[in-house]
Amino acid sequence: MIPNDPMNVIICGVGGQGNVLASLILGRYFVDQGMKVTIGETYGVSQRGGAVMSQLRISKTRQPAPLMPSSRADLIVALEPVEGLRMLGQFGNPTVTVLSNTRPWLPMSVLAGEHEYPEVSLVLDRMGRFSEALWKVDATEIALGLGSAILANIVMLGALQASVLLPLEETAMRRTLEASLPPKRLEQNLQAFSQGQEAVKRH
Amino acid sequence: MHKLLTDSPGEKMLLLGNEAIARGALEAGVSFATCYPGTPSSEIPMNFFNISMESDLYFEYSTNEKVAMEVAAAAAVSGLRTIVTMKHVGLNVAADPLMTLAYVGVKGGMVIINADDPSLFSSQNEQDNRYYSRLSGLPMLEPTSSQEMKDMTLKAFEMSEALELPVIIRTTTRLAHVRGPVELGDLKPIVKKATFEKNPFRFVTVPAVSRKLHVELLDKFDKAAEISNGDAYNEVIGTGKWGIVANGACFNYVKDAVLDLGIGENVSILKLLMSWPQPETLCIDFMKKVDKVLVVEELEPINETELKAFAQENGITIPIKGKGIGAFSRLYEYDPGMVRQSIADFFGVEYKAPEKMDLAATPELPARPPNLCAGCPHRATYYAVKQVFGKQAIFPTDIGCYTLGLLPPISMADFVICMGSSASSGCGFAQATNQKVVSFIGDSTFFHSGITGLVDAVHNNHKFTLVILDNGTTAMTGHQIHPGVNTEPMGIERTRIPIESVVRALGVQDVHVIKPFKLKKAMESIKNAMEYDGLSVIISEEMCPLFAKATKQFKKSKPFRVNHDKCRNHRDCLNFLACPAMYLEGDQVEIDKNTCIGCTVCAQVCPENAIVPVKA
Repeated sequence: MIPNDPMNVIICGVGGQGNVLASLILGRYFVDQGMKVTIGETYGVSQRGGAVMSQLRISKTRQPAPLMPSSRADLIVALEPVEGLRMLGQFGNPTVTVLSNTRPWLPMSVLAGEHEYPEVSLVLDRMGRFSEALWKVDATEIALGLGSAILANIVMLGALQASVLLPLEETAMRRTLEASLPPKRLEQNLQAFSQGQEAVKRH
Repeated sequence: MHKLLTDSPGEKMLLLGNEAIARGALEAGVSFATCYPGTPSSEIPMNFFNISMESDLYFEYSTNEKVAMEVAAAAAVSGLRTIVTMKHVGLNVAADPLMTLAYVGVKGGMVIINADDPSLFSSQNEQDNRYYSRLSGLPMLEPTSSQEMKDMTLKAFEMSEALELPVIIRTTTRLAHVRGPVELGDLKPIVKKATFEKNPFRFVTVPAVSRKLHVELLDKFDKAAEISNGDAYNEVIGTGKWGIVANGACFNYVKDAVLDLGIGENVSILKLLMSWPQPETLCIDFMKKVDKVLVVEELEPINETELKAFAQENGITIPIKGKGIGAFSRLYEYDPGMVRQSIADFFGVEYKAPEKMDLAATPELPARPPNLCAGCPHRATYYAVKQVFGKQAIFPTDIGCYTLGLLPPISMADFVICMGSSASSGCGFAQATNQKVVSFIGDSTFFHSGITGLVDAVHNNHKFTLVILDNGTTAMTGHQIHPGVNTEPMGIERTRIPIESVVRALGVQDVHVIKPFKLKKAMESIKNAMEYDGLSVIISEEMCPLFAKATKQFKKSKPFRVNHDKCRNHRDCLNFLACPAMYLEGDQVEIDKNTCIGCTVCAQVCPENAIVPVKA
């Protein structure tokens, strides 16, 4: 069962990383489990390359509002480290857990030399320090190994399942993946999911 | 089969608010749908578009919101169930037909979906369109969840037919872009055609007719007020002495806050689902039963002001507050923490907001605004124009992906107020100053409302350059078609109107069609336009690569790489173009071959010719 009710989950990253799909899959999973789920998305303008965030709120008893109050996240799933730390600043608290991809995606302002991207090790260190637990996953590396960085979101879902930070029953989760992904890409995505699980088990 | 055509009543689906609206319309047997896309409404018509390909639903992307409203109005007065969708500023464009359509009314149910955007996630303002219901006299429904988005759409059709009036449904970003469970109902068959029955004394709004129609509108308004006072929409939840009035997304935050604060016993909530006409009797009864009232509404203090007026007329002297309590203001969307705090403050309840994490020891995080995609043709056009005109020209711009030209290193956006304003404000800047003026407008925006500005420029002999960025689609809102799109590759039959023909037909003498990825040639044309003593139009043609990929029109090219034997680290590529395919490895620029689409622009910009195709 979910450890808190409502369980407040944030999935964040960069536009184009498949943030929305990841939150949709998790949402469907919990709806199928008979839970009440609300997902609030934040995407504006043409968000490609911009920061994106979904709030997934899960309850056994009531339909939660689309947004959680500040500092009330129970779990942050970060597809990009700086975005994870950014969300931790707004929604973090001493009991939050974080599952983060380790590969940074540099904003254009950093590439153009106007801003600096902090050392990744420092970002991860701070995420660990400001949360109850930090789980690190080399999701982009794993995804690239499978042929495409876009699979990182599904790698993260696999890692999330194996981490037990959210109660995701494996068989049911795979069924939700099958129902949510185009048949042509299913095999590759299921591999990404498995490798995400493995990455956590190696921890 | 499209998922919204699933014929299994009782099934629960996790639907986006906008999908729920589309489903509600299908359950009402909607026959006719029009729109101009705009965030946060765009997913509604995207679903209608796909559904229209596999059902009898008629759907069109109209030229602009005014056109969409008028096309829909004709279908509705003919007797078909009709829906028209737009974002809040779109209703400004459609305001002219809206106001008089309210006089003539409709026969088939007509639902107007209006999506407001508090906090301006992707809009140029955050106007509160609840005023349009007051301005037009049309009823307004404000659902609070995905389920209600569906249910209210269905009921809006019924109400519209009962009153013979269009009904406005107002959503906001937090409803349109929220997913929640929706229980499906029965799908209704689609009626394809109706017969228009002539009645000039109702439908032809000459003054003598409209004088009578205005009386009828006020009669209909009274009937709508009866519905609003009944129990079909608005309700009072709870019996406590602390009154809270809430609408739309705020209702959810109030519900959460009351639970969280443990004050359920003390509170009565008046939920305004049908917010116009206001349920006057219900409001008065409510205010008589409570000790004080807190109005929780985003943006303007509309409900608050109206409740105060009711109270004054009925000798009710309890405190009625809204704006100014806690952090409640007319700015931006409310957040749930703020709603908890304001409720606690107003009713004198203990509430300790969770402490913000102190991330003092954390380095400053770089901001991450959205940017133009790798291989976006706008980047190339902006570069070429800047090379020719320099940075000093005035650059009026418009609404679309290319508005991102505002951001460095492009920095070529000086003025934008609404769709189409680049063309007309170009006229004004050219006349009012001695500065050079180059206006930028997208292809869809040109058809939407740029043409009239260009007519003005031709007719009044304004001297400036209008650059039409023709990427073959309405890119920003999700790749919708528009009158200039070649729809054949998508298997859709629509007549294409080439932009060049329109421009020439309007009498523009100096017209250049450029290919922005051929920088040298493009810059020659731009130079000719700059030197022309009069009005010039440059049409920059290159398909949006994302749209090209989605419609299988993308011609794959080799990605590029940096040859470090030649690179002398000028970084012109990065500093002028800032393409997301570029990254720094140490202090050397590299190109990610998975992101690069091979547009070749950086290779043309590099002074050392150090950017070369990746060998197979």
